[in-house]
Amino acid sequence: MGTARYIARRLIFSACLILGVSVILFAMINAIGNPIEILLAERPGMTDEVIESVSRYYGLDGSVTDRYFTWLWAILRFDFGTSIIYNQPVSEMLVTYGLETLKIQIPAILIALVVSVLISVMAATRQYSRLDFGVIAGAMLGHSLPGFFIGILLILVFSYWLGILPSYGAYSTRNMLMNSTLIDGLWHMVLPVGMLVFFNTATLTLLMRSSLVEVLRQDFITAARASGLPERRVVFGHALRNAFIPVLTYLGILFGVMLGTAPVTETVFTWPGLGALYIMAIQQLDYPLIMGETMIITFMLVGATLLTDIAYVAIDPRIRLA
Amino acid sequence: MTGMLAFLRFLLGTRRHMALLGLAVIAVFLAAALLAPLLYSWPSATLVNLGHALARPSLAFPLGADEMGRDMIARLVWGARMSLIVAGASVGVALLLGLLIGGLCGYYDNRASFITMRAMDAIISFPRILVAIMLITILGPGATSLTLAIAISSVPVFARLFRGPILSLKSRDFVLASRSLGAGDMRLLFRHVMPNISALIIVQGSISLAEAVLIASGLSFLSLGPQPPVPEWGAMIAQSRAHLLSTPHVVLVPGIALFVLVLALNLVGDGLRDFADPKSGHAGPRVAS
Repeated sequence: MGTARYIARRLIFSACLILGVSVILFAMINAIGNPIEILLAERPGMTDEVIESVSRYYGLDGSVTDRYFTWLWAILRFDFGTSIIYNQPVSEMLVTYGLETLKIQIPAILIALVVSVLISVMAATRQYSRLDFGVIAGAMLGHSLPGFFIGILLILVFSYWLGILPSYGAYSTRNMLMNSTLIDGLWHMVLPVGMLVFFNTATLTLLMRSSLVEVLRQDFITAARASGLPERRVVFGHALRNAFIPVLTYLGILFGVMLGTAPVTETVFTWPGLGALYIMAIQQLDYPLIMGETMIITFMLVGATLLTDIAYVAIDPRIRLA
Repeated sequence: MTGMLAFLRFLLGTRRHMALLGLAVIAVFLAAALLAPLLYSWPSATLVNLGHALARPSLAFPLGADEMGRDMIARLVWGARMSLIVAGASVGVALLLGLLIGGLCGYYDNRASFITMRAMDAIISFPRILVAIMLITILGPGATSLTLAIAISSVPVFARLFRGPILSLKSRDFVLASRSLGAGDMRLLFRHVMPNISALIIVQGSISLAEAVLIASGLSFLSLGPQPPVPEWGAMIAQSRAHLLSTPHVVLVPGIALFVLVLALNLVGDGLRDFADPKSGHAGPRVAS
């Protein structure tokens, strides 16, 4: 199958997926109940006129299918309605909070990637050595520590005992560090990024190491060595490139990991990001926010999976089917 | 039982001390969870008694008391019961549903199974914790919906994992022989195909337990699990966080318990995998997503 056709098929599948999620989400949110009733329970004594105008304001009048298509048409124009709790446009909130999430997640993933590649190369080239077992044991320990507990331990040590790093928020509300918004912001990033690096490195190292060990056993590595290439080029040039293929699958998931670790990380550090916002929206039953954010998450995940599938074809010419 | 003995003999024979240690730790937690009602009464774990609030570890309270004056060790033991029940039940439900879907989709290789497996692929592309969060949004927080959410979020993983072996087993000679003797589809699937992947089922189930405990505690930490005053380790950590600086034990005790249990489950899962397939090597990748 040609690459173009393969990509076209993936695109169609992605579109179907997004559409499917939107239908399920809308049906489920409708199954829970009418948000107006919850509003009514909180503020009894609203007149029918008020209820009607509120319904119209939030687009809750009309039949379910009508509302679904109105909503679908709106989200295609990046209009997610107005948050009930914050009374702000959801689309603006998603951008502001989304940037805060990316601000800690992207550096954390990049650092974790570099660290885990280095560690796994050291471990895999000395398989079954003391260092290798140390790395496996360390990754296993890190893998068993709940993320939120790592975060709380970091706060205990660096914020409470040593008192050098802030324990919550993305910025100081007053007394910026060194009177600079930039330095103050970076200073606040250290602990959340640290927690994520710890968490991601543990997972990535296990994956990279076993993948590398497998590749280093193969014939073409022996051939490369036999042809007189220095070990450094064998490992970094030949082995690592092939070891990356399973990791690349993981990178697609890694984007999911970014979104998956966001709720806990941001709750631990009271970080104003998408994860904490999602939990807040769920606890307060802020429907426009819940639906908007779920759709954005779906968009991003499907996009990331699509990119991974395309990158696959680029990195490994053997994968042409599927 | 004989399987358990063979596993023990394997661990002793290959000197896997860490897995043995893990097994011992799990036995202790399991005993505590089973005997919780005999060891500490439910009120001692849930009733507020502000007179003892934040008591430091002493003879009366071996692990101290939390901010509501509740005995930490009683809450820890009842929390072990909660964690193990939620993790065990969710993995059990997920295995059953995963086997059913994976089995049917592997056995009947038609359009319906193709669509079902594509749907499974779609769910897998979402992080498990997000799927669970979405499900809890709909089911409402609580121990039962926590269990269901974790179970459903891992069904696609199991379904995909079990489908492959079932697909290849169904065209093996012994299955064809049984079919030619007149055995029906269901008999073939459940009597001949399924028993042949029992090792895979046991290994995957045990490996998933550690992850289930982690996800359950994470969701409870986000207050999406059992609601107060029910003791759950993740929820205990979230509720006592404000007292981290003055009395760290209220946070450290449940945190360390969680860590030790998950580590033990991981170690035993690893041992079990090597036991089932000695060629699989050491500590392969286990992607938590």
